Amino acid sequence: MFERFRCTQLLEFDACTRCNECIEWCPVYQEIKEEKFVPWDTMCEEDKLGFSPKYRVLKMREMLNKKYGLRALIFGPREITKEELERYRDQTYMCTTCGTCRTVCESRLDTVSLWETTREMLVGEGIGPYGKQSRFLEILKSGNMYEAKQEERLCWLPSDIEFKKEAEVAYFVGCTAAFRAQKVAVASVRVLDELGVPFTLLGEEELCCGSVLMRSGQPSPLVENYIMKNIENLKKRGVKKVVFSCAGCMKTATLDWPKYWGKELPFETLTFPQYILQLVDEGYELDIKPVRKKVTYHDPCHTGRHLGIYEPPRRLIQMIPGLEFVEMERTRELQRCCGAGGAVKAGIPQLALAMSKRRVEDAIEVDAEMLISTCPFCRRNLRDGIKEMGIDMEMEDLMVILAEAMGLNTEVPENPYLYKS
Amino acid sequence: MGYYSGEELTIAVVSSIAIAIFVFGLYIQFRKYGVGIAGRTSKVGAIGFVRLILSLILKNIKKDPKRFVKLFVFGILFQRMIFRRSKFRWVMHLMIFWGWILPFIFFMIIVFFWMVDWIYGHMYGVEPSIYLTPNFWIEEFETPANIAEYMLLGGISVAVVRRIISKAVREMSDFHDYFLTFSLFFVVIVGLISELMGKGVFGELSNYAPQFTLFYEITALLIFVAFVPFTKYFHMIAVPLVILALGDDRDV
Repeated sequence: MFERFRCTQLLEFDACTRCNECIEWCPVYQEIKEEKFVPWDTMCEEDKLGFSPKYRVLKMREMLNKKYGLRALIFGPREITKEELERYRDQTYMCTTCGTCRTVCESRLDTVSLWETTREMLVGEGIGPYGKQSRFLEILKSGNMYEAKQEERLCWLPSDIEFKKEAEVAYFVGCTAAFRAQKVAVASVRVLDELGVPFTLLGEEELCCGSVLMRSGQPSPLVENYIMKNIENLKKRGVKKVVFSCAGCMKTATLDWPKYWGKELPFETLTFPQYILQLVDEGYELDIKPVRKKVTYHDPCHTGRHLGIYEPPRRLIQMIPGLEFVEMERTRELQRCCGAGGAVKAGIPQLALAMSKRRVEDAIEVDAEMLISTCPFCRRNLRDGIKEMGIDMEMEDLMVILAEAMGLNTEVPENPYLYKS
Repeated sequence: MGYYSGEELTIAVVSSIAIAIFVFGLYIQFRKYGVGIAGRTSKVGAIGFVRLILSLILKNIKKDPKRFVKLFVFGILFQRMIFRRSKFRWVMHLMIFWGWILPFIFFMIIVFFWMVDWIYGHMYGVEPSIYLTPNFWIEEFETPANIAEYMLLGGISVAVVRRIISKAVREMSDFHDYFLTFSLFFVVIVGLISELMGKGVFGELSNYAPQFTLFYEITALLIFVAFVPFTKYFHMIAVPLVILALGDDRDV
C-alpha cells in the first residue's frame, strides 16, 4: 500500500520534528477543536488531534513502521486494520489541502503532496474517497464536474462578444465559472473585449482540468485524457498564453499538467490579475470609474500559497479608485482557507461552511463591506458563509469588480444554469 | 573535553557497537523508504534509496549551486524556518544544535587522530608528530568544546523547563519528545558532573571520576550514536536530507 509514495515522501514522514506549528495554524483542526464541525459522533481531545497535520503524519509513520520498522523486521509485519484505515480516511479527507501546514512546517515537508498521495493510497486500498467524492469519476465522464451538457459550455457568453477560432490568448473558463459562477466568466470576457485583446475559448472542447479528481486522490486515465486533450486543443489554436479565472484550474494547469504532458507546456499560464497587469505594463489603459467601498482580499490557496501569486490581485485592487483596501489579519502565505478546496466543498459541505464562516468573520473584524477573491470556488463558498450568517456583506470576484468599475455590463444572459449561478 | 576516562579499549569496543547499531538502524530506515517510488521504479530498497537521495542532491547542486548553498546554510546550519515561526524556539534549538554538532565534529577529528596515532604506533612503530596525536587536539578543542557544551546545557535546560512549566507544551508532547529532551539533558548533566569530578570539585567523590566519566562516555555513545535511527533523534538526519533532496522553491 505504501508503494504509491515516492521514497522521499516516506522519508518526510520521519522528518516531522513535532514542533506543533501545523496544529497551531491548521484551519480544519481549529473548527474541529472548537466543535464548530464535529466529524464523529463521540470525540475526545485525542480524536480531535487526529485531524491535525502533525498527527496524520505521525499516524502514517506508525502504519509504515508496522509494516517495515525494526519490530516488523524481527517479529514480522503487523496488520493495519480496516477500521484504522477508515478512521485515517476521515482524517485525511477532512482536509482542504490548503497548504498552511506546508508553509509553517519547520522541516519543510511538502505536506500538500503528502496528503494527495495518501488519498491515492486510500483509494488504491478501496477505503477512499470520502462520501460523495466517490461519484466524481462518474460525474466527470460528462466532461465537467457539474454533469452539465458540454455543448452548453458557452451558454453564458453574451451574444455581442466575439472570440477568435485561433488566438495567442485563451481564456480557460473552468467548470465552476461556466456553470455556477457565470458572472465571473462574463466579466472576464467583457474586460478582454474592452481592452481589444483577441482571445479564444475552447467552448465544448474545454474539459475539466482534472483538479477535483487529483485533489481527491483519484487520478485516472480519464484525467490524463482530459489534460492531454485540453493541451492539444489549446496548442491547435496557436495559444501562447492561457488565462484562468479559476484558481483551482490555474494551479492544476501550472503544476500538474506538465507532469502528464511530460515536458514544459507549450503556453504560459496566468491568472487574470497577472494578465491584466501585463497588459497595463505594455501600455494598455484601463478606464476605471471610482467605486466607493471598503474591501478586503482573500487569497485563494491555489494561486496564493501553492503558486505564490500575492501581489498582482492587490495591485489591481489598488488601481480601482475609491476602493478602501484593508488587509485581514491572516493574508498571503498565512491566509486562512475558505474551506472549499481539496474536494471538501463537495464531500464534506458542513466543514466547508464552518470554515467559510470563520473567514467571513476575519473580514468582519476589519470592517470590510466587501470580500474580494480571484476564484469562483472561494466565491461560492464564502457567499454560502455570508448567507448562513445572515450579514450584510458582499462577496465578489475581482474580475466582476473590475468590469463593473470599467462600466461594463456583467449581466449573464438567460441560460439553463443561470438560477444555479 | 578536558577530562576523559582513559579506558581506550572499552571506549573503542562500545564505539564500535554503537556505530554498528547506528548503521543497522540506518539500514532499516532506508529499507523502509526504499519501498516507495524512485523515478519509474518502486521498491528500490535501501541502496536504491541512498542512490536516489544522492542523485537528487547532486541534481539540485547542478541546477542551482547558489540556491543549494543557501538551502544548506540558512536551512540547515541556521534553521531559518524555525526563526520565522518563533525566535525563542530558534535560539533554544540553535543552542542545542550547535552545542551538539560542534563537540561531535571535535570528537570525529579526535577519533581520526587517534586512528592516525594507532597506525603510526602499531604499524610503523614510530611516534607521530605532536600535531597528529589525539592529545594535542583534545587540548586544542578544550575551550571551544566547553563553550559548545554550555550552549547545549543552556538550550536543553530551556527545553526541559518549558516542558515543566508550560501546560500547552506538555499537552503536545509525547514519549518521543520526552525521551529526546530528557535523555539529552541527562547526558549533558552527567557530562558536566564528570568534568567537574575530573577537576576535583567534589572532594573525595572525585576519586571516582574515571568510572563516572566512563559511564558518561558510554551513555553518550549509546544515546548520541546508537539510538539515533530509532528515536526522535533521527530528525537530525531526516530533516537535512528532506531539505537538500527536495530543494523546492520555497524560501528558507
